[in-house]
Amino acid sequence: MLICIPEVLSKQRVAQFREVIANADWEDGRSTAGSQSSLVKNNLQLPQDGRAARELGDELLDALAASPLFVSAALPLKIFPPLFNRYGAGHGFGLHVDNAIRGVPRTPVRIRTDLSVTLFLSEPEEYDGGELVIEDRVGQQELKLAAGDLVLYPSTSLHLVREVTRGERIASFFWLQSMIRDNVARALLFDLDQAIQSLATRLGPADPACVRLTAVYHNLIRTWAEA
Amino acid sequence: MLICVQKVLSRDQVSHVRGVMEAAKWESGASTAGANSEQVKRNQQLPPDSEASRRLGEHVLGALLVSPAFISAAIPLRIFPPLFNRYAVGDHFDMHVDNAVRGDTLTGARIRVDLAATLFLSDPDEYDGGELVVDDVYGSREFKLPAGDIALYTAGSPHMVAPVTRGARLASFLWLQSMIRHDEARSLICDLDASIQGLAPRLGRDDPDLRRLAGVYHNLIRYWGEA
Repeated sequence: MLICIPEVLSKQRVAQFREVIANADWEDGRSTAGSQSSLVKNNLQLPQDGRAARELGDELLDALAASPLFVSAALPLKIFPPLFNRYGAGHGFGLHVDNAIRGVPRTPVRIRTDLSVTLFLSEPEEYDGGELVIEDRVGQQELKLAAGDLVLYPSTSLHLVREVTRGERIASFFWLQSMIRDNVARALLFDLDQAIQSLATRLGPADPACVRLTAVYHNLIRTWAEA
Repeated sequence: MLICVQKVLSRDQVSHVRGVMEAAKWESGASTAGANSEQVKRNQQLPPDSEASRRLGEHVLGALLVSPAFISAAIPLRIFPPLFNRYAVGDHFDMHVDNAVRGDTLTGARIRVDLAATLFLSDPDEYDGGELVVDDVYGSREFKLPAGDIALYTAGSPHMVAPVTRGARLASFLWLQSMIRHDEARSLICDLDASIQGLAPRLGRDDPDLRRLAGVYHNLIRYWGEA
């Protein structure tokens, strides 16, 4: 399941993020790449434990927790501290798959990367190229979203960032472990939740059908969840 | 799982079945009991391979397979040929659990016994005692249903038939293997279906939320179903 969520950050928050990012020091993006990815990765990142990345990362996590659509689609258990990157002209990230397990630096926390997230912080007209391209079995999806929007997709897919040919593409990216490991099960829960939310608006949340469906939803999570 | 379905057989069908039963030859119910159950079972059965039993069994199966409530609750994959019994005064079947796997002597077919069903063929005022007692998740439940109604319960739940103290209790009982092996999963799917069926007259079958819920229903069966 690939899902785009608009306006996780408002334009105003995006501007604040961009200002902090503009004044921060950058390092080679290969610092967080595995051995295969480091061969195809060419960009800059905010240092993982630098103040800028940590502060913006925390703010972003708060914004994610406040997005019902994100929570419903991801059902997150553990979220990796968000990273921030910059692709200038000539930068790109060739086809790769994300590492299955990621340790959070200087903590005993390890995350199975079920889902990958890219949150765009540059508007599409600010740069040429730089599309996020995600492959599935029948073809590929190309994404270039508005600043403040994010895309959530299974980490199992091969993906790349096209070379930037003009301007600069700034983004945040991170991984998460979902309470629901299986993509099929998670997609099913998302559909069920979305139908319930819509029915609750139409019929009222206390409608017996909504109450019964909500019980089915929670019991499915109980059946499948890791907590 | 414990579910009652009303009027699986009409009054006319009940009369027809009872007429055939009354004219048939009976044997001791010990013939289909496992080693443990034999000690605790005392009743009469139509011989499972007899023509009367087979013919009535077809009749009962035909009625079950057109009962939406039965199909929704049991999601049957294979149904063992129904059997027919009679508890006269003093007859009983003490607490027991049904065998996990049953083979049919005529067809050689084997089923995993997920669910058991009792179809009542005598009305409650025709006999005293003879309650079907099932130990379920939330405690012990007693059933003495009108003729034509069926009680469906997890074959793994301990259950018994209380001694009959007046009159005679006629019933059919059967075992089935469900496409959904686990009780919790099957109950969840059944609840979801009941919600959808309840909403359909209110919102119309073409409602987009209902179509989405129907998708979830079929995808859950795809996820868990054995076919």
